[in-house]
Amino acid sequence: MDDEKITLVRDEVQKGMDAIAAGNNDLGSRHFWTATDILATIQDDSKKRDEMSSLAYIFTRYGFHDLALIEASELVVIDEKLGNNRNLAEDLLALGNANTNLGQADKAEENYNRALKICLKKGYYSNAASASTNIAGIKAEQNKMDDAIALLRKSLEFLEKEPFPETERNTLLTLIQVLGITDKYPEELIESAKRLFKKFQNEITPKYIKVISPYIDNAVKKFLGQNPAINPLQWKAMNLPQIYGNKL
Amino acid sequence: MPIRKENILDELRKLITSDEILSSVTESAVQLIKESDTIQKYEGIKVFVCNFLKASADIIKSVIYTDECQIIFLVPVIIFNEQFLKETEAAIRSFSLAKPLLKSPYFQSDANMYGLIDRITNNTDSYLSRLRVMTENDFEAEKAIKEQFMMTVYYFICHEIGHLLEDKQQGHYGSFLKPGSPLEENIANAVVKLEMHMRDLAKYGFTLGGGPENEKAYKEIRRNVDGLKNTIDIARQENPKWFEAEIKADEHANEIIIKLLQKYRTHDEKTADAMQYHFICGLFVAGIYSWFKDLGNFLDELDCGRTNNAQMLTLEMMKNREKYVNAASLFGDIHRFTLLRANLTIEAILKEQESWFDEDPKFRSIWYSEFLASVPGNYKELKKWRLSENLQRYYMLCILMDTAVKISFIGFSTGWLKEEDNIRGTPQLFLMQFFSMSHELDLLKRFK
Repeated sequence: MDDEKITLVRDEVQKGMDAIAAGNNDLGSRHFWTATDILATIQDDSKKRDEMSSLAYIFTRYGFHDLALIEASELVVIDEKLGNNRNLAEDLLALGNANTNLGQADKAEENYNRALKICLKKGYYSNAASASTNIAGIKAEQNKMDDAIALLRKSLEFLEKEPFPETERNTLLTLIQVLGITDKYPEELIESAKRLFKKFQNEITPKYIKVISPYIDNAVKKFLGQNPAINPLQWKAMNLPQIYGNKL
Repeated sequence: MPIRKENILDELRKLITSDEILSSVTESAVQLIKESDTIQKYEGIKVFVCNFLKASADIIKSVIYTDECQIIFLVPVIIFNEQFLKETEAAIRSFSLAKPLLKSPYFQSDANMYGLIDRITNNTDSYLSRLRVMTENDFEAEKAIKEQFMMTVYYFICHEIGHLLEDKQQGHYGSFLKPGSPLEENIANAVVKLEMHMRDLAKYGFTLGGGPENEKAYKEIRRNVDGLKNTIDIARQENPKWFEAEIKADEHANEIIIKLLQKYRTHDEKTADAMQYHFICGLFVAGIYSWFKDLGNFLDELDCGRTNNAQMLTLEMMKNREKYVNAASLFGDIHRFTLLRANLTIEAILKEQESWFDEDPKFRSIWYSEFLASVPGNYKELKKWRLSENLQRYYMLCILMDTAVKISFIGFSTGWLKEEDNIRGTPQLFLMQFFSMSHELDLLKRFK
């Protein structure tokens, strides 16, 4: 019975994605809701949980943040019941993301902190980094830059223990911006930028470069100002060609 | 078999809702009647929330039945349809999922808004129960939602008591376009009704604007409408009188709420502020939900789908003049336009309770930092943030009035436009651009 329902759920999800691909977002959201409604009737919590997790991701991806919040909230309850800490940590992160998308910063922080606590206790370091970076984002929005910087540095430490490229990229991008706003640690900003471009060059689109380049440029000016012996053009071409080009 | 006055209460008792939240919220709203000096004398008034799914065919056809809410003067008794309150509660809970208005998913796209309407109308019980579970263990969030819901129900009750104060025979608060209902096809009925709404909207500054050349056209349109008025049936000719009665009931409700808030302000400002904030949030949602539900039903009847509604609506309405006649179904025969009602009530409260509208526009703003308001104990910041949220809701309603203004104005002109088509010998293509949800939100973001 549950397996049949799961098939129906997946059919509805596929129909939803097809409808949205065809430009019929309204119909898409109806199929997604039907999917979650069927899911709610499944008896086996662990089967239900896996499908709900996919659905929460899909809701977020398509911008149905209210549905993502409902789904993620229910997921967390099931995870607590099943006692699976890794799933619980991941779903608390998903719930925190849904809270963030709906402007619920306090609830987001609470859920990210819950996730962080579990992750540190259990050694899920890449997820700990994700939680830490997300909390840093909230702190930055609240203008608590020193707190944000400390959290982002912690994220990078966690990622040394359990790498996860996407989280590392997001952490570095956030760190560059926060360091740039505080204007206190130019060398750290430059090193973060160099690391970002070295590891993620192909993923740093012009949109990202537009956001971070003013901060990088400012830090570089400060650094070169403090080190007049360095040839600026040469230094820029060798260290940050992605921003300055590599013509000497 | 007709229901007799002495049987009304007995029949209603058989239909009482078993939903505990609806019962308790309604009871709390009824308790507020005692606290109002204006309507204290009605504190004994009976208010029923009825599950009409249990009702017999005779009851459904009787004076007892209502789709939303009504007052029966015979007793007197106020009756709510359980389904209407459940939908209102579901809408309030849904909008409460986002904290600042700008983060509400329902204004990000038409699909999100109509998806919500769809879930609420077609899956009320399952959707509502899932929403209720979300705040089961969150005391503050649940309290805020219930406050919004309770104040909204209180407003509906005040509206009905407003009819009592005007000594009218019967009244109800309601929306207009039910799924599957036939759309208006009679041009005279449509034009006369839309003229009434167009004038009501214009009275408060919601117009398409215009210059001297429009005045000449307006005189011609008026001539056409006056001619058509003589052709509508006698019952409809009474509608302006009932329309005025509904307006009076709204005005009474506004006054009752304002006085209640003033009374609280004298001894408990924090509670008064919270009540005001929650009331405006709740009424905003009730108005938005009602309008978009009707608009969604209209789009279904036009068979143009709801996705990319603005574009599809623009194209559909351009096809022929009859579409504007059909669109008259979006407006009540005797009830003021839904969003305008909510907007005027919110405006009345904000102008009475706050000094914001008197401030120099160069220095005032509808935006305020939420972070400062979220610091515990920072009441002054919380108050400012709540006001900013209420102002955003007020102006959002003003912006959303756009669709109705266009429909009512063009609809009211339809008779004259057809005359001109006949003189010309060919119909003139007429395109009116309707805005998408995300565009409306962008307009709000441009406010200072």
